[in-house]
Amino acid sequence: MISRTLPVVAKVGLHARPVALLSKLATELAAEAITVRIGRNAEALVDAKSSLRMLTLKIASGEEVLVELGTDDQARAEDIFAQVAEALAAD
Amino acid sequence: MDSFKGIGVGDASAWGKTFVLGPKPKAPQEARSALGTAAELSRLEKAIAEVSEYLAKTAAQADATTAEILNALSGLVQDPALIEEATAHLNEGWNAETSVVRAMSNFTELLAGDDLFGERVADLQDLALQVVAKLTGQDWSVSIPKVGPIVVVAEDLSPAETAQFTDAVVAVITQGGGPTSHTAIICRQRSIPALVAVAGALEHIPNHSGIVVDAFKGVAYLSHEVTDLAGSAKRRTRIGKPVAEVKGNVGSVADAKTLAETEASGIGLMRTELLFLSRSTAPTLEEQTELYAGVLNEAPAGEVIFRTLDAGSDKPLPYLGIGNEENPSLGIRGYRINSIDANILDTQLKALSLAQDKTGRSVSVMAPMIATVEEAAEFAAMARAHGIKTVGVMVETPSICVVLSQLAGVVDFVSIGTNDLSQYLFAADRQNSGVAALLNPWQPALLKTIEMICQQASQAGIKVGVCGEAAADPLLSAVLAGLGVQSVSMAAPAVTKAIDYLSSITKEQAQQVAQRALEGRTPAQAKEFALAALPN
Repeated sequence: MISRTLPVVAKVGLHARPVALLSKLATELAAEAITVRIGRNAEALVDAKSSLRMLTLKIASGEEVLVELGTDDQARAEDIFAQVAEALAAD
Repeated sequence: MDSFKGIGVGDASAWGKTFVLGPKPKAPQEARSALGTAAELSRLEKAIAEVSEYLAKTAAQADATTAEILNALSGLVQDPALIEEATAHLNEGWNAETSVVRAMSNFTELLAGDDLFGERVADLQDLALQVVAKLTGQDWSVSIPKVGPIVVVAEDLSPAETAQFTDAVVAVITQGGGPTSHTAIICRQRSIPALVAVAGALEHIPNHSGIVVDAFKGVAYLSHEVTDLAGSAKRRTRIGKPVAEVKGNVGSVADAKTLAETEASGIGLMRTELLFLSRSTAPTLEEQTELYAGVLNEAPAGEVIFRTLDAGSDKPLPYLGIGNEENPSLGIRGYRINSIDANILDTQLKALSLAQDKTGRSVSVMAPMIATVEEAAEFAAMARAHGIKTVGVMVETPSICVVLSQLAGVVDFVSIGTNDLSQYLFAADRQNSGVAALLNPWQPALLKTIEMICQQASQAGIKVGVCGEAAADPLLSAVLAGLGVQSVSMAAPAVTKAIDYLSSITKEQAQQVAQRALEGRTPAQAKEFALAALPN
């Protein structure tokens, strides 16, 4: 398990395109058996495969989110975090 | 009743025959399952798959904007969480119809009433009803006539419905919805007039009747006479040079390329934010130089104005270390970043100077969020020290408007950012849809403020440009020119129409249009007066 805090840069917040991109990414990673969970803190993480669950977090632009990856491969994780950061900045 | 009021989307008019879509089916009476949980679950999965497939299929035939919305909905209906929640209700003994409606409500209840997320609720409820329609074998799909002209009248339109619009659909009237609903966005995209939030539309507008939809005035009225209103949208005849220079707004090298295909004379706003967003460290001097030189190489002939980093508030960057602000739009943003990290601006100016050397083309530079003459002077000195000859500042704060004449000899030009100027002038948050009416660029107080800016600037020998949303409205650009604005800057698609407008009138005529607009007491009146004063 590797976690990182990332900023939600997208003006719309965790909504619309960022959510669509994240659920797509998480669904693809499920094939590699890597889980992606996201939330305000470690106690309130939701499965990033679900757009609906991410929407109900109601995270606005400028907030930070904790992203937890179900892998121990540091290099792979870095690559995924970069993709997550990009999704969180998509307007 | 034969005339109807609503909120107009766009500025065009159209005549067509009404095609009234009946009210949508309501959620069915809640019912217990007679089939057992496993059978209900397989019914539900099948219905969800069908809805998702139908949406994806419709997306494949739609334009890009519609397709993106439809594909997003197709993904949402298949969301694993929806099945999970629905299964919990199935396990309690409810049937598939009841369970999917309840499951969706679990999510929509959490989102309802939220400024930003609330608008999603109607889409999600609509999805649940589409699944119910599949489950109960109702034909949800509507077929809009392919031969027009047709004016679609509906309670509200789902993206799946607007995707079916052919060229036969010339206008839309909805009882619900608002200026930012999907219906409005798609009508804007397709350049067809729409009238939304029309009370009693379904009850009072007869089917298959001639109707005129005037989005500009926000009215529709029954008219049996076949009217060809397409003429109202015809291009204006150019009689000379534009009364204000028309430049373009860009954010990347690709944008600059697109702009170069228009008649725009230079770039009025190059936003440098894009390179800074979505990364965890600031871009290097080399990266910036490459981007700026790329833009200079591709830009159309004319002046090229770069705006230094406008981050903060709505565009947070983690590496700036601004921290959490109670009121970010009133906090450290734009030029104010220089007070906590002087490196950012210094590197930008260095990169601009290098790009200038590299391309042999001179740059103009301006800073955003300047509130005092002192800040303007500080910025101008830094820019000039880097060998940049033409320096300006954005006019976004009321404070700089008041002392603008003191900028004489300090800067060469000012550029009015109408969006932020409105936000600060009216104390109305740009991100809060509840105060959107105050941010209308036709607000009399905004026009009056722009007149004041132009008068002071003219006495101080400073050039005035406008690079906000307001410049993209061609009628408003004529008003701006009449108020004394020398250049307007907008996104590439709006350039041709603006040049048409600004070349169709003389300077004196533009001034008359502006003076009439200033007499308006409301945004609608200002626009009406301006239109009436515009020569045909």
